[in-house]
Amino acid sequence: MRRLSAPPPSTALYAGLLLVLAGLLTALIQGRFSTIALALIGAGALLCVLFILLRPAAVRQALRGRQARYGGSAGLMTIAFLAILVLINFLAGRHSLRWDLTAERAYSVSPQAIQILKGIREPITITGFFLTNDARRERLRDLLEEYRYYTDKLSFEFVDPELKPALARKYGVTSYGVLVLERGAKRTITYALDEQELISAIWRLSQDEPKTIYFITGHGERDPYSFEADGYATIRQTLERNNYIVKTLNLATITDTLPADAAALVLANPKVNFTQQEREHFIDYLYHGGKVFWLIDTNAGMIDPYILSDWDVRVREDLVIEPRNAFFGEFASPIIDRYPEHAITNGLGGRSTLLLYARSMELLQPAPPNITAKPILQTSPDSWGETKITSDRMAQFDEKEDTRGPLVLGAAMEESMYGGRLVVITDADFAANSVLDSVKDAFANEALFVQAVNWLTEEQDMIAISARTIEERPIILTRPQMRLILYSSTLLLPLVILAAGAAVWWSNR
Amino acid sequence: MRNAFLIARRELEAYFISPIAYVVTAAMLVVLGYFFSVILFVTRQASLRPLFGGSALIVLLFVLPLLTMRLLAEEQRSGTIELLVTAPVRDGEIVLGKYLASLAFYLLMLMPTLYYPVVLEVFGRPDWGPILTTYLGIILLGGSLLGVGTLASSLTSNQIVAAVLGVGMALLLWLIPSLAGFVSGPLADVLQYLGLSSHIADFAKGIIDTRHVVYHLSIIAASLFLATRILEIRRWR
Repeated sequence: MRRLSAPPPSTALYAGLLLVLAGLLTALIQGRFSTIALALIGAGALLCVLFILLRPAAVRQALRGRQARYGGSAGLMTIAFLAILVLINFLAGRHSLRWDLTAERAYSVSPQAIQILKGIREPITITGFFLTNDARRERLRDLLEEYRYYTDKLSFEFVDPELKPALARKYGVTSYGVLVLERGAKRTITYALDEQELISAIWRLSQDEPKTIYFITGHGERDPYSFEADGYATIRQTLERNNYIVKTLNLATITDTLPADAAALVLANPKVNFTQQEREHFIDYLYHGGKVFWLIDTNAGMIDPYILSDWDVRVREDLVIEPRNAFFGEFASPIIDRYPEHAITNGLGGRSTLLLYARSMELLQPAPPNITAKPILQTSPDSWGETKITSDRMAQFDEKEDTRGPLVLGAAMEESMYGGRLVVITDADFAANSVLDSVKDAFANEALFVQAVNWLTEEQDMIAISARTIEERPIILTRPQMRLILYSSTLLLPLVILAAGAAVWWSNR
Repeated sequence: MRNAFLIARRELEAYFISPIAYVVTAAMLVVLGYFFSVILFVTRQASLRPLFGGSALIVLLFVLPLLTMRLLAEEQRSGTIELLVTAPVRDGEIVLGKYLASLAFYLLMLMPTLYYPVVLEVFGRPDWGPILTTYLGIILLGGSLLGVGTLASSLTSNQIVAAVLGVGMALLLWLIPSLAGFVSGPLADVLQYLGLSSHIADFAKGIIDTRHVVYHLSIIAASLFLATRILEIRRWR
């Protein structure tokens, strides 16, 4: 047997290989296969092919001999082996096990969420508007990546609204931390960035039948079709953008029961009382599993204390004064920036809500049976409910008459027997055109309204994903500590290895 | 199998007396150490995810083929492969033995990097679950790269060519997903799947997914199988 050595590869082959490598390096640096990178790789490959063509002897020599005798069977074996590997990978891709070893189980998708994801039939695209360095973006990316393991119908991208203003305008997005979900022509927008809200939004969008929300009319309520300052046209459009159908309903025209497609009623600050018949229809609906969003302002003409107290609520005859946390020092425009724990307000992305001329309410103790009531909006301890309104500049806290804060301005009630839900907010101005059009996304007012409707209309078996807090694990270092870490890891550690190498070499001289 | 271990032991000893192994390890530690420090100062998070879930891993693409370049090429050049051939060992055992030696040496190379999580533990409270999975991930990734490097070493009798080929193949495997942008549909998914870079991020997050484990083991099996075939072909020329 002669000594083995390959024929010396010629310069052409070397040059070809180096060109291919240079092309790959270019692609690595540029982060994509650009024309330059592809040209380099192409030229290199061409050189290698030329070498093979021009030096057939060398190539033939490489392929001669025993391999020619039963090279066929070896080739078949190779193909079979690779085919088996492909098959194994295919099967492993179809049935895989995933273990989440993070302390918070940060990547474990809840069973309900998995069910919802597997139920998606049409592709949903999600566009997130975030600053590039927003930590929430990364968390959402992780979550969505995880969701994609359960459905191939979900795609997402993150956009910096500053860099793509046209896209932001198209969706009417004016702030950071917004997710736009689309399914065909349908669209829903969420400001909430936790898992619960994200999966609810996906679920809402994957429903074939959008839910219908009825605004009650006929008693001077806020009008969802009015573009006047106190109208509700803006919030109606927001609801429609969120995959809801908005209709109006005059209770007086109802002969037997409310429309069956009513997912929720909105009763926005009626100025006059219901007739006896209207009241009966209303009660019949609400007390048998209906969902109502009731806004009661300081100038409300109809407050039905009997219905409200059945649902654990009493509204006060006062004006909420907020001496410190107020909009440009307007005492009667409280800003709420800390919320009690509730699904409705969890989804506001930590933004504040601005109310105007609100009254306060209280949740009665003890609560009626079957009712659980939770506050959703609360003012600061500095605030109070003013009962003698002369002018809000002159407002003085009066120990005997007024109520000291924190005051409840919004609450969410649930009834366990029929599953009815009621949200009461003691202000109607916060969702009026004038406020929404002027504050835009600076406040979470729009989101609060939509979140309340979302909570009212969600299915009972839906989503009880407990909010997971991903623990931050900060490291605070002093300058000397930083220097210590830098020098020890970049210099000391490698030097120790080199010293060990030198010692071995010395002893083996 | 016993033969493979004998070859592995001989080869591992060769690593310890060759200066290049120490230089390569030191170079890797300089790069990783610098990345680790800078990332820590910027993110201020007790986590290894940004280090071992991203671009810092590229250092492995360049370093590991230097460990495997001489494995088979050198034996072919000096003709000592004949000694192995005449001994009662199968080609598969030669390839496997040499590969295992490089893998064992790589594990030893990773030992000093444990300094980073120790630093995190001293100055903060890291989550050890993800650190564990991260190490599993870089061991598997390194295993794949060493497999590819061994394959490159079988193709030539010149160490330098083997190193260049190894780095090239590693880069190609790493970059395949960027080609997915040129096509669409199932082919894009296949390209995405083939890329080494698609099978490391989950480990760095703190997730063990059997898919990624199977992928890396397949890359290793395919590389070693092909290297064995090539050795056979070249030997009987």
